[in-house]
Amino acid sequence: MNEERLWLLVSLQLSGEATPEELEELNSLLQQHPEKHLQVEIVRNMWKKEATAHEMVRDNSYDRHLQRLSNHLSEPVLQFEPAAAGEETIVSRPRRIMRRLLIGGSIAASLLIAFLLYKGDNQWERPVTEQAAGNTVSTTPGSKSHITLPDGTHVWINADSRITYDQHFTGKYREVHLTGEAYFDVAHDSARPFIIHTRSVDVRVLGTAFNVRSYPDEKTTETALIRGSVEVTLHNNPDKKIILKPNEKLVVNNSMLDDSVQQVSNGWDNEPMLTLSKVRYARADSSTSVEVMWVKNKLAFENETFERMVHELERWYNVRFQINNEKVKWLRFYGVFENKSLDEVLQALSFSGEFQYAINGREVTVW
Amino acid sequence: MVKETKTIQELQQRIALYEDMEAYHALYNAFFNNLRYFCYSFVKSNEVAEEIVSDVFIKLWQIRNRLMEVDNLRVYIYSIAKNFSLNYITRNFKHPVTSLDELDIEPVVRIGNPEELCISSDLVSKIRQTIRQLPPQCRLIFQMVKEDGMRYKEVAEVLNISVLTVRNQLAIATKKIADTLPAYLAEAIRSRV
Repeated sequence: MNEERLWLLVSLQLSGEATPEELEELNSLLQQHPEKHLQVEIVRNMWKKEATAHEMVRDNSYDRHLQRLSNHLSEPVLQFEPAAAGEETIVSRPRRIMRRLLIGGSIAASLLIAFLLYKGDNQWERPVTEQAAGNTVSTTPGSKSHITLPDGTHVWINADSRITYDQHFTGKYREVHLTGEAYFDVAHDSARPFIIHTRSVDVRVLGTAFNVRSYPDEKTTETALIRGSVEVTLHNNPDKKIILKPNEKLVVNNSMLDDSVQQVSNGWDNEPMLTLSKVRYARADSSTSVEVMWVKNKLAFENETFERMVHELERWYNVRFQINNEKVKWLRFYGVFENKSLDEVLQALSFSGEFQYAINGREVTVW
Repeated sequence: MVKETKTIQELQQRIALYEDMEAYHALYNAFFNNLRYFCYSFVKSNEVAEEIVSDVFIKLWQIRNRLMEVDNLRVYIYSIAKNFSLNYITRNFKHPVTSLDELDIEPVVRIGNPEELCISSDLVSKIRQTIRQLPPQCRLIFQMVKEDGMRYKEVAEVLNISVLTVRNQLAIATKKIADTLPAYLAEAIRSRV
């Protein structure tokens, strides 16, 4: 018997590369040579060993990887000049690997990639552009609006908010300026990044749906991601980029804007400067997150203090609140209201919160 | 295997078109274990191997928008991993690697335990030794086909060799392992005692 032939056929069978003819040949060989059965059987069993999954190891390693990835994205991705002498830190390693890769030219695609990265770099170092002289869409308290931008992006604008964008929207970037709250469903166009400027952060979008809330009278700027991914750059720390995953929300304290470094490190109002959390789902309606309920014309609160709700109610119904009872400010509420009048909403709230209210034209008094 | 390839293509698409971090995570999970072993074969350090895997995935994220231009993502990932590993060796041992056979490749091959194979533990260590004594390139090919489930064509592309070489080397590896094994059950039982 040709031993080489037998083991070639066995190896072809095990690696799934054998043709039907070869499998047949193997079978008849084995029928003729029963003395080989045991060896073949052991080799087959050995081959079948499934990979043992070390899930713990893997999960920990993914966390470490994400950390390295974000470190990496916040520094220049590619440098063509040789690394400085003595620079042996871990952080600088990937760069040098890539440089060598380029020099070696081992993968044809690397050149294209390098070009892309290089360009990508410049985009970030570019200063924020001047306010585009173009279209402004704004909503008054009590009204909401939906627009479609020239590139097909849908924007739902919440009450008392303003969006400005370049008239033609044909530049290298699709840029809008936002004051207030809007939900974006961005048309995918990887060649032209979509950037939303707010007073404390810039959000760079990569084809995706998310909510940005940046009202002047609120302490924080929120970015909640529903799907896809976005990259958030803080104005006061442009090197720091935060990538959000679906169903994550980034809350930036607006006081970061003007305060000195020291004050920032001390915190403001004892609230964290940056919080990354999950978007919230209301108990009553789990299909839509609380953050984007307003897009569906639902007024949603999930464990919200009355003090914070007041801003929302004022914008939603175009009224002003006068709260004469400090305790009411700290009441917390859950609930979703759809197509309800202010009176109906307040009736429900006052019933569970045991407070009194009176509506007088555009004035609401609570005690 | 076909199903797995389809899954990888789907993840590739989700990352390229939607920059989907969940898909990216799933891709990482799909490759992590084997890719780390693959890198380990070259660099022989768990920490370095993990870092190279991380570098590979950093690179994938950086080129995410062009990911659809990659024909076979598995081949692409292994090629980058191989190059990063060789670069590491070149940098740390101060001599450029020109041929895989110059390297001392440490194979990471799972064989299973003696009970499952119905053979003695002596025999298992003999098999291990046989695998370790294969020529470096042969070991690597064996590992990539058996452990990583790669097609001959894919292995050939990653290592820049011909499909015929892969086919022959794998047959050689299989025969050498088989030669270590007893031909008859009686012998197997005897060696267990």
